[in-house]
Amino acid sequence: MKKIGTIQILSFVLLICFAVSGSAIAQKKERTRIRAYYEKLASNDKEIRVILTTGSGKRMKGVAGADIEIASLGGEEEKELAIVQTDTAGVAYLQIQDGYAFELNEDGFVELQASFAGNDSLRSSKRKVEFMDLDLSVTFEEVDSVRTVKVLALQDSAGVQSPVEEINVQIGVQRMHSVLFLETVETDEDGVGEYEFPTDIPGDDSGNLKFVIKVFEDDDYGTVTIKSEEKWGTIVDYSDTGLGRSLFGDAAPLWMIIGVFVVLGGAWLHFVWALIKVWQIPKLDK
Amino acid sequence: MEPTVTAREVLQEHKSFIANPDRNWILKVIGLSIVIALGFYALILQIVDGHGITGMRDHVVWGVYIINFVYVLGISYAGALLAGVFHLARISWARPLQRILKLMTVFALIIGPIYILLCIGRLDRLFNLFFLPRIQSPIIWDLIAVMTDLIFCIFYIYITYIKDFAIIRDHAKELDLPEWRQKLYSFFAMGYNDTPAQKKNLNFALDVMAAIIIPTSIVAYSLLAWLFGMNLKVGWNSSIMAPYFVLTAIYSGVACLIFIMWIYRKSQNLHKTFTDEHFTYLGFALVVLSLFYGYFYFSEYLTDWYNMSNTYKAIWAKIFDFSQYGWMFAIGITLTTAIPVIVILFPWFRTINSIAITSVLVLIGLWLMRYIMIVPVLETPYIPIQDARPEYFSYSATWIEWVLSATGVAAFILLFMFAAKLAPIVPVSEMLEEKEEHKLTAFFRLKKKLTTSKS
Repeated sequence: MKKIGTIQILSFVLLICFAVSGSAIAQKKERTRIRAYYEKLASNDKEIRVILTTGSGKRMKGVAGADIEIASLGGEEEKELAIVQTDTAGVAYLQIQDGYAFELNEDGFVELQASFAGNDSLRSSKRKVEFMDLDLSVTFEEVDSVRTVKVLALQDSAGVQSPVEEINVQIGVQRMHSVLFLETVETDEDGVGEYEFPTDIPGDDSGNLKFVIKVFEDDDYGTVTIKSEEKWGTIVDYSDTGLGRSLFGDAAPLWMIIGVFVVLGGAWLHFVWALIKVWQIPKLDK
Repeated sequence: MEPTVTAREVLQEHKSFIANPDRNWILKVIGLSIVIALGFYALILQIVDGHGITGMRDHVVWGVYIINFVYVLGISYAGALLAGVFHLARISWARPLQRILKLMTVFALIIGPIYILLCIGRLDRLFNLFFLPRIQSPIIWDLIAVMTDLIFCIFYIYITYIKDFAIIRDHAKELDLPEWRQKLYSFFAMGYNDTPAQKKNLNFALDVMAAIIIPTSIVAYSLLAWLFGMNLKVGWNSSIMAPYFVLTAIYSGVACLIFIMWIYRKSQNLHKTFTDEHFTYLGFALVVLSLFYGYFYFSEYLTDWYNMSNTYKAIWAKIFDFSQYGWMFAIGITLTTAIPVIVILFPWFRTINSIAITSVLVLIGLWLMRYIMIVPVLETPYIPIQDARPEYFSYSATWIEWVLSATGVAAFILLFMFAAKLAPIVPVSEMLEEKEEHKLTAFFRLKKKLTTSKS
């Protein structure tokens, strides 16, 4: 009987390896990771932002088009609130209008759960997000030319309001592209935080400033933003700071038009001159 | 034209160029065509899937394509500039280089603008550049300059071929060329028979074209520089851009010329045509240009550094950071400023091969330096990028961009091969006229009073 050679054995082993690994790859589902954030918007609406990703580190990418179920766990039974779909970056949003009565858990927190059921290639995942409603308000006081921004933080649990102590509140003003945060204040036992506002912040042409007051990703209250406007900025005349660049006008300046025609015209005239000389060559064969 | 012994000799010497294609030539053409076909495949993918398939994003909107565009156009303009200067100054040793320079010019000028088209997301709106131009826009200046330069260069290269076409036409049977090629040469020779009147007309046209090609190429490349210089981006908004671009163009042009010369000298055994002197002269030109390049770069850096803004600091921090562009910058600046001086200036390393290899290293270095000039600047805007994924503000070219870049190189080589099949890479007529007295014509005629001898 013919002996089986090393090459045949190796080939067989490789074939088995490929078959096993291939089927293993085909069956293996990728892990998913879900993150959920709560934010109370300036309009008092509440927003749940869910991010669904696969992979990790540099290979981490969002899962697009996935259905995310958001349910309330506060009551005795789980209650489905909505199903939202992730966008191309793997982010889904659920916006809940102000006034919606959430069922609270025994600690007085709203308890929500975002879950992805998984599919043929992705594993399921879920994440809880808990928060308590926080009411932020701002007042502007000016005494002897000293301007003070006063923020008040009150927590609201089942309609009962109480001051929130030792919470960090960011105070900023809206600039053209982003918010310029000037200071972070900590609230006292009355839920009040104070900041002496500078007098040299540029406002619009009437001195208006758009204030942005924010609690950012707090463990209990999530992100809470309020906005307010006050004439505490310096008046800036923007009419003279337009784009005064020479060539931004509707028409090119005369020197440019003349220059282009002289330079280009000169070059093209010489080109035509040379062309005529070459054109005459067949006739000069004498 | 009377067949002369010298013309026959020169043609016989370079017969291999215009002879019917052999197996080796066809294989090379097939190899290059495969690369070009791959490029077409990549191009179709890019058109179908959009620019998301490349490394270009919202912030870094330009990448390898624009680098290739700037680089290739630099080689083109340098070719035109050097050819014009060599012709007008009647530099006799540079006569064999004329055709390479002109071919370099035209082929680079054809390939270069294709790269800018690859950068454009909405090619269907391209016609607006022609039908709704805005003369204040540097892009329109560049478009006009490139088109003008392309037309001038194609005409210029054609008229430099007329004498050679006539010579080949007259020796076609000795060269055993097929009939269709004989007819082709006869048609393009335009009935040129080297009569005094024809010669006068042709030489006049050559002088005129050489003279207008020089300013046209300088202006055209300066316009490209102003596309960057007039931009408010930190790192580009500089008055040194135009002279820096022109110098860099000449530098890359000389390096490219040396490399092409070396290839032909080695592959076609053209030791008598591309002599040691050619390599030595151009090698020293490379050294001088490298010193100027170093001076320009240092001057720009010092000026920026002295009162550096935060954005500038961020750009230079990226360039000096070895985890980002540090190695690329170190290699680029070494290859462009130190290597030519070390290898060519000192006699210990100076050989034909070392000069040729240095020219290749310079070409690589100049490409890297253009990458440094473009990408880190785009990655560092005035207003810091926020709320964006990392790949949106850090550029990394994809295989699509590399394949299309390689396609450009393959197309350049292929066009050179076809051109060398049309007529020898060495201008035969120029070699014949080498010892003839060349009178200054066109712009450079002296007044009669000055030329009249007192005797």
